[in-house]
Amino acid sequence: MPTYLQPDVLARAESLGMKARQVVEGLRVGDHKSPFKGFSVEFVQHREYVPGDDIRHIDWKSYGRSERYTIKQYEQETNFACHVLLDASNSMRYGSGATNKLEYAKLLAASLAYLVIRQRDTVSLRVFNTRVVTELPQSSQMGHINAITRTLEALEPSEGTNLGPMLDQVAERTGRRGIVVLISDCLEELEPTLAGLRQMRFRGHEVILFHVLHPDEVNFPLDGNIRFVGLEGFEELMTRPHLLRPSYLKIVQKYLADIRRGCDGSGVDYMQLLTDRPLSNALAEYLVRRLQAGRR
Amino acid sequence: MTFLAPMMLAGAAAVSVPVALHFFYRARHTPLPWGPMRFLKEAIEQTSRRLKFQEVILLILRCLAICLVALAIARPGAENAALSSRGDPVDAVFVIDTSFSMGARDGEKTRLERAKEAALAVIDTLPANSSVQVISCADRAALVGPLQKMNMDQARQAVGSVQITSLSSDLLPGLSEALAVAKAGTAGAKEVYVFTDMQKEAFERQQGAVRAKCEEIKAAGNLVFVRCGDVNRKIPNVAVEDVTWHTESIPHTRTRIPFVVTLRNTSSEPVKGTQVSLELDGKAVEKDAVQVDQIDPDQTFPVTLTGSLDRAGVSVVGVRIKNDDVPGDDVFYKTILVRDKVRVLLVNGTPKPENPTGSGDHFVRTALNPAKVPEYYIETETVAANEASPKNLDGTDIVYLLNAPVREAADPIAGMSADFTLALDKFVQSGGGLVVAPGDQVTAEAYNAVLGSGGSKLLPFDLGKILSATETSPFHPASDTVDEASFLNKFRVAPYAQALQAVSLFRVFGVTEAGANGRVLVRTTSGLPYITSKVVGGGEVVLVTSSLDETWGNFSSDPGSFQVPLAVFTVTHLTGRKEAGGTAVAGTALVYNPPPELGTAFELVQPSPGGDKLRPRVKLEAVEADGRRTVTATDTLLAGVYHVVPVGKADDSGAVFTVNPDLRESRKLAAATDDDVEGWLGFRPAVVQAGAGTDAAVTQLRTRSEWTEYVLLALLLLLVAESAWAWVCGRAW
Repeated sequence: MPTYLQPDVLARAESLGMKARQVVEGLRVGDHKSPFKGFSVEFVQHREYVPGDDIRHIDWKSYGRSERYTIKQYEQETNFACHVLLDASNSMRYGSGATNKLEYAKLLAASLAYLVIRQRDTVSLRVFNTRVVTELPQSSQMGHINAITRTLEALEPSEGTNLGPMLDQVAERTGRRGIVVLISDCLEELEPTLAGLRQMRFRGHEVILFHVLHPDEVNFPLDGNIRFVGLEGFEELMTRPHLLRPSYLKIVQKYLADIRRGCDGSGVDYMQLLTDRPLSNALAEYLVRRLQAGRR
Repeated sequence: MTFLAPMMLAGAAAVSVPVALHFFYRARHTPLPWGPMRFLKEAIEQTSRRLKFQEVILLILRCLAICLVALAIARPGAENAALSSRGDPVDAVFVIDTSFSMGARDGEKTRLERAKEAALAVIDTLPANSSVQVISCADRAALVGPLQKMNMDQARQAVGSVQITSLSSDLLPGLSEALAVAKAGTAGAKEVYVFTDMQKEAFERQQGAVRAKCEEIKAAGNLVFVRCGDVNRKIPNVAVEDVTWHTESIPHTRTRIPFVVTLRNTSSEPVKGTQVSLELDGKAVEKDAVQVDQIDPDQTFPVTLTGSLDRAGVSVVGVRIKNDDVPGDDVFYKTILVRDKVRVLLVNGTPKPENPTGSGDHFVRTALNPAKVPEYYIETETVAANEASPKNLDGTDIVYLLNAPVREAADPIAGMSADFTLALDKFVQSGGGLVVAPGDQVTAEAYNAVLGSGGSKLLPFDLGKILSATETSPFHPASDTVDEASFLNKFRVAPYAQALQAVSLFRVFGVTEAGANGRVLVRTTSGLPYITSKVVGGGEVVLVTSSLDETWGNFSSDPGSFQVPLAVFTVTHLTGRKEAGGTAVAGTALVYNPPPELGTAFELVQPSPGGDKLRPRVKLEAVEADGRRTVTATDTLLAGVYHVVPVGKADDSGAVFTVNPDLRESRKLAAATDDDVEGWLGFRPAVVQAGAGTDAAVTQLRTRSEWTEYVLLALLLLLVAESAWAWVCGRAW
């Protein structure tokens, strides 16, 4: 089994599954609602006939009972296309071992891809920093997961991020509505990022933001004299971090609140992931939450 | 504020360390790759001003802490009463007042006993490895000990050995000695304790010098007065100021003479029931003890006691009183030379056996035994001038040369022989008295050549020309010219003064005053010397410039007030010169001119402080000067009877001296208040009351006067504040 497919993560995720919360435009029959209605397998409802409707769809039996012209409507179920966007900028280097942000993000991306392919939906992968550096086209073949994991294993972070324009660029290249999964630490300016997400939503995509952060970045538990070296090009800062902690935490909390509020306002599904938390738990929690939201 | 270790203040320069660290030190920073630099930079921008402010506060607190550490190490203390802190060795010097006012009783104990107890208590409070030196001090200071100054047992013994003296108070010698001793010590802290009843006299006698010395001590260390008396208590005291006897006669055996004791109440309270008793040669004359009902403050009260003189020689008259609180001045001693016989040789230049009343010795002989008492104690022997021989001087006390010429070459059988005049010189040198009264038989040149500057130099002045006066305007001796310090001083007052001035002199010898070392005792109204004197060796020569008979004046015009008193005063004075010893005040030197046959090695036999029979002795050495041997003894600290004896001889075999208390001590019995002391010294020294709480008071003084503990407490609080502030600022110490 490839490195990024861990049984404990997959076991729990598989049982929950990942349903599209919105309608998606699939090419094949699947588990997800299609935007196209008409003659299909699943009857949905009657509606009154209006001139211009195809008279072939009039339900004559209903006319016999009620002497009113009614049309029968049907709903088509289809598969969805999941577009996984993985941030591989330098800021994702932070953390060591299992808490390394990029490693965590890779694990998440692989798990999601596997989950999607297992339910016969298609998945594509785009790795980006300031631009898209690696792109795997969508596929629902099980063999596709191998390509994804190999890509992830070979992945090395580099450069910074330019998330807003990059999202615009991706949105233009994904034609049919599907699910866009963005896995990033979103450490650049917030507003362009939110604009990019809104653009995705505008194009009809269901957007999920997995906000991957290291606990140090959120809780700032650092001590001593530290020379902070910017991973994405900032000047070095020498300070005693414990003196800054209150201010830093305040700034970070505000940032997290802003991004959460921005996502909520744009209809983006937001999930914050701290890398010290087991991914299996975090992913399961998200999928459960998603299921519950779908039932409502 | 003063500092025990002021050099340590230099440690405050260490404040430069945190300041330098604050501005120049750059700590090693661990590099950390970091993603959210944007947040970090924003946080720094938000907190930098606050952090800088916190750092400045921290810097100030740390600088203050360093300054306080330096201050604490420098051991600050109050300027007026700084004592060293507990824990460090101290060079302690105890000055214990031994003036006799310290013998006063406040309750059951004397002040000296309280002083000793207080001194022992102070020893107990001294830190380990301290040293103690004990100095006794009255108007002189003496280092008592201990030999090993860090040996506290020896120090306690030294304190215990301090004895009271009969001296008066003067703090200057003790303070000077204490300062010298303290400076010789090796410990950093010096403490001078003065255990005294703080008599005003002790400060006032040499106030300027005492003040300067106290300031010196304060600059070098610490000065603490331990008050050993009650400043508010008025001590009843009567002092024996003097004892006199009838001095117009020579004390002689087989007589009972009245002694007039002068008492004086020196306190501010009336003293009742003072008992006065007399001692002669150490034996109390009990039946003559007198009790005085009351003596008011500052009142002088004479008491007459009589005693019988049974023994020829030098006797000691002692007076003791009881019933007051200062025993030191309750005794008074005087030596009295008691004569069995006084032998006077009258060398007559004009003998008239056929007419004794016209003889030149008649008037003097009559004056010496006016009542013609048989077996009178003054025995006179008359010898013609040309018959006088050295043998006549054997056993003789006084020689009168009455118009007695010296032998001249022109007449080898007239006048005094050369042998006699030579013997006369030795006689005077060995303590005899010589009265020279020239008349018309005497030629000045011959006299000067033999007895004056040309010969044995016995005459106070060389004789000059005979000066004559008319019968209507004779020379008269002037009473106001009588030397007040001479044995003739009674001629200054009535009735002797009138009798003296009534004397008419028609002829007198002029004398050459210039260049001579004689002393004029009486002059005439015209300024001519009438009676002169000169001390020669152990004796004295009295020169009367006119004859002691009726040839040159009316010598016997008033026998009761002039002729007889003059003879008696003269004989009394000249016989008194043969007295070996005398009376002195405690602390003064005893001077003795021993005869050559006694050698040069002597001992001073002192009175025993405890009344023991074994009296302490001090070696003395005779010094030869001007042809005389002189023995000087200065160890006269106690009132009592002293003897200067040849080495190894019995206690009472030599010259007898009596030493009396220095009455300056009790003349003004008043203790100085703290305000008085501050006024005299210019600062308020530490004053501790001797008693049960002396040790606690001294300890408290140490604690209170040194501020190190308070500075350390402040430092501790500052460190707590610094730590709290550092915690608030999120910084480690």
